[in-house]
Amino acid sequence: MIKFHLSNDILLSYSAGTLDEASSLLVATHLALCPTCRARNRSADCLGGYLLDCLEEAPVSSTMMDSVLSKVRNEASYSVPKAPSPALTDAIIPDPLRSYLGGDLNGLHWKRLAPRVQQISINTLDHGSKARLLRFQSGLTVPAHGHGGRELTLVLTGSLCDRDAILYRGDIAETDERTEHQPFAGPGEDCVCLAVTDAPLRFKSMYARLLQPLFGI
Amino acid sequence: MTVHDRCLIATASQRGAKWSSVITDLGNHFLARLIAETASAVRFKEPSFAATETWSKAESPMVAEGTALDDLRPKAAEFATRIRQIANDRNEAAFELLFRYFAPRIKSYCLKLGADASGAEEITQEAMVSIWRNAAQFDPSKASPSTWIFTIARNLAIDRFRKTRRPQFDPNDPALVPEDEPTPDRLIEQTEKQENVRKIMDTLSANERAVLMLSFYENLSHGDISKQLHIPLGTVKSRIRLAFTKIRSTLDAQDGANR
Repeated sequence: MIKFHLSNDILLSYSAGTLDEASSLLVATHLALCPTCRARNRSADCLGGYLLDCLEEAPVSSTMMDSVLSKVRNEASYSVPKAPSPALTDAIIPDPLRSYLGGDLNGLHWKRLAPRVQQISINTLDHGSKARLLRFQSGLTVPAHGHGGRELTLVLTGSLCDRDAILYRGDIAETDERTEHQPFAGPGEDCVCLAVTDAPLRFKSMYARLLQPLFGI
Repeated sequence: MTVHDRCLIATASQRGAKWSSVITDLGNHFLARLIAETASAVRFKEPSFAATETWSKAESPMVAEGTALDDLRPKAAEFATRIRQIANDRNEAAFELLFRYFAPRIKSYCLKLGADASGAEEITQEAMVSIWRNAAQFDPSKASPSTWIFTIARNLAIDRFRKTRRPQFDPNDPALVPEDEPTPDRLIEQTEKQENVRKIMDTLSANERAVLMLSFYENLSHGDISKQLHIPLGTVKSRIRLAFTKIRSTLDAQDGANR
């Protein structure tokens, strides 16, 4: 049962289409795991629909309707696309993240980031913020750090203890430049999470600060 | 994150506010941005700000005028029927009716997003083609026709105009966590919740709407609005806060666990 959901501001900017690609990837992946937020997302879209009704009309060219009709008139009927073949019945990573990674959890090529921490950098078209998949071995403590901007974290496997909360699959942690925290991976399964940052992290310890440019976090 | 967002955070922290209230303020701001970017043209006349006018006079011309929202519900039912006719019978008359209502609004939306006239025409045309082709996928239990069409136009605009991607979940993904039993009760609840959004928008007073539009469409600071409308700063702030409290209540997660 997911306890930590998307905040209203993130949800609304996703619905309005103003959220950057990396953050949208995290939002959409959370939506795949969270029926509650899918319902909230429909409410947010509903606002957009309402606003469309309120808009002043801008006249369109007189020939547009005919060109649309002549384009579609003779097309074969479009049927609803069928559900994909159930090759992946036990996928752990939901879409759209799985497509961005090019496969499910088992087939990924991790890069060592620090002892007991691995990462995969995720390519996005827009560079507003940066998405990466991180894997922490259970029990690992991330060095205390602050943030130059917003950080969104979505837990996919295992658990992450952050401030006073324990986050499990589907849960979201949202921090900003005022947050300094020292999350650690819970016992048991390794913790895999999707992290999106819109500015570099600021580590507190000199050691971590020195390593930071090397790892590009 | 914009400078404005950072200021909100800084101000709130000076007040010793809790993070949750910072989020609330941010939520307000983004909601405003949504409104500004999608509906900046709720119909109101050019405001007149002659200094000699009392504020109530200056404010009244900005009142959203004739948005005719009362008759949207029957309209929505009619539009839903037309979309079904396109899906089932490829009914061109039904399409024309939708076209006349939606194409000029989609174009207007694209222009608000910053597209030029020819870009807006192109996106509108593509959106109308997409409505025809995907009519069979329209599900009136999930979205009203306006909402469904808004999402089509928004996705095309992001793709064509902003040239970026907007990742979306796949409802057929095996890893998707399905809704609990979709009992009839739950479905009704969902529809009611969506109608609620509309009802709540309708309850915004003209004053609240006017202040919001100036604040975010014109991108004026609270202080500037106060000067322009000759109303106290506190009044500007409280109107904005009231308006958003109403709207936000429809978005809150039921177990309220936003952090």
